[in-house]
Amino acid sequence: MHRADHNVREALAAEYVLGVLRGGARRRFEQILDGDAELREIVDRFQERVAPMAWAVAPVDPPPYLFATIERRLDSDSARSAGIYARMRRWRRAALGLAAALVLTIGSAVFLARPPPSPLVAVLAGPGREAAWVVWTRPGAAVLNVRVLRAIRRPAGRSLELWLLPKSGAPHAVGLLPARLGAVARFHLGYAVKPGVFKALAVSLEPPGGAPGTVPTGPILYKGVLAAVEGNDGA
Amino acid sequence: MEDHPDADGELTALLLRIAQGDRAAFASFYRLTSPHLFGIVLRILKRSDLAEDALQEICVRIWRGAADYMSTRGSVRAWISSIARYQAIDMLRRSQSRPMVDPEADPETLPAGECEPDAMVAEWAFADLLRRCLELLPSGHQRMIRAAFYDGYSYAEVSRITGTPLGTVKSWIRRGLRQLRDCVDRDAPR
Repeated sequence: MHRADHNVREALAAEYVLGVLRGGARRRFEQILDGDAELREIVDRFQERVAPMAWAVAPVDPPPYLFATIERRLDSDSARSAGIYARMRRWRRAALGLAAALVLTIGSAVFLARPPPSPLVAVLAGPGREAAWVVWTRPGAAVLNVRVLRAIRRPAGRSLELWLLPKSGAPHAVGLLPARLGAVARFHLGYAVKPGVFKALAVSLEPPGGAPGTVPTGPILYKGVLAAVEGNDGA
Repeated sequence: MEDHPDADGELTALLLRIAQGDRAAFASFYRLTSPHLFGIVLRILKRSDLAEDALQEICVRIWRGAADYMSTRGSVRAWISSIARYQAIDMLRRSQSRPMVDPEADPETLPAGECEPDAMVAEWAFADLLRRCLELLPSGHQRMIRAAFYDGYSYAEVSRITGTPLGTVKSWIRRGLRQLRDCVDRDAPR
């Protein structure tokens, strides 16, 4: 893309985030944003930059009666479908209506078509209990999703490596973790994360590129335990 | 909510449950964030009734968007404060009688939801950097950018309240934004 075009996009994105892009121009920009991943990234980056300013506005308690009104809105909204978990719940209701179980093969794991289990979540925290990353996956899936919860300080020229710890045996290397606030990563494993087999996660400080061998060589800085998310099924 | 290092982590954990339809998690999320969100929209809309409508819409967007948010980049507070600001800006059309005061002309009469730039949350890696970069701009540029950002004033409104020609306002704000971006990008940790 031409440098000039890129500058125009960056300038428009800044005006959008600041709020001075208005009316028809603002609506058109939002429509373009919908289908333009690169523009979305520019906007997201700028939003992240100004977030401290936005959050600095003095908080004002909303009137107490407002929450009841909001809850009523959510009641009627829960009937709609939104998000992957709502789709999973619909699938679950449909599956329970079947007389017989179907057998599906997903990757190297064999699943019975049952209600989708609650996701497994771990919060990775350091010795002072500061939460650094949240990790989540569906039990039996072969991926780990990670998102950064706060800007993580890391000594220059070192990397932070994630390990999955089985109940017995050596730790499995997963990959190098991002350290910027709000970053997300997805690691594809060659095996399923079964809750009975894997329970704990650890992060070690390694040379660039990660541990040279198959075990951690540096200190373990963060740890977490994978547990099923308890949630009441609101729908 | 307190600005402590776990703040975004706590909100992320709640959002994961909200994505599953957990209303109790939403109630906790609301308790922690609604004062900030309400302060943001009240400062822009300057009317409680409109701010209450805005907060409702914001909550519905958060409720619906929680699952998709989990796979996108960005902190929770950046996500929700953007939802809040854009919702308020979109609703400005409904606000015919918005008092227009240049808050920096008379600091004693700040409307509800005044901000203290030095209160910017320290834990964000960029917070200090952003403040320093803002302060590098000429004071007239800073004042205009703050008026647009915090009060949701349009170019035309900024022109009116500062008594500066519209063309100058546009050029100062655009230049200021470009300088801010360059400054923050230059020194931002990767």
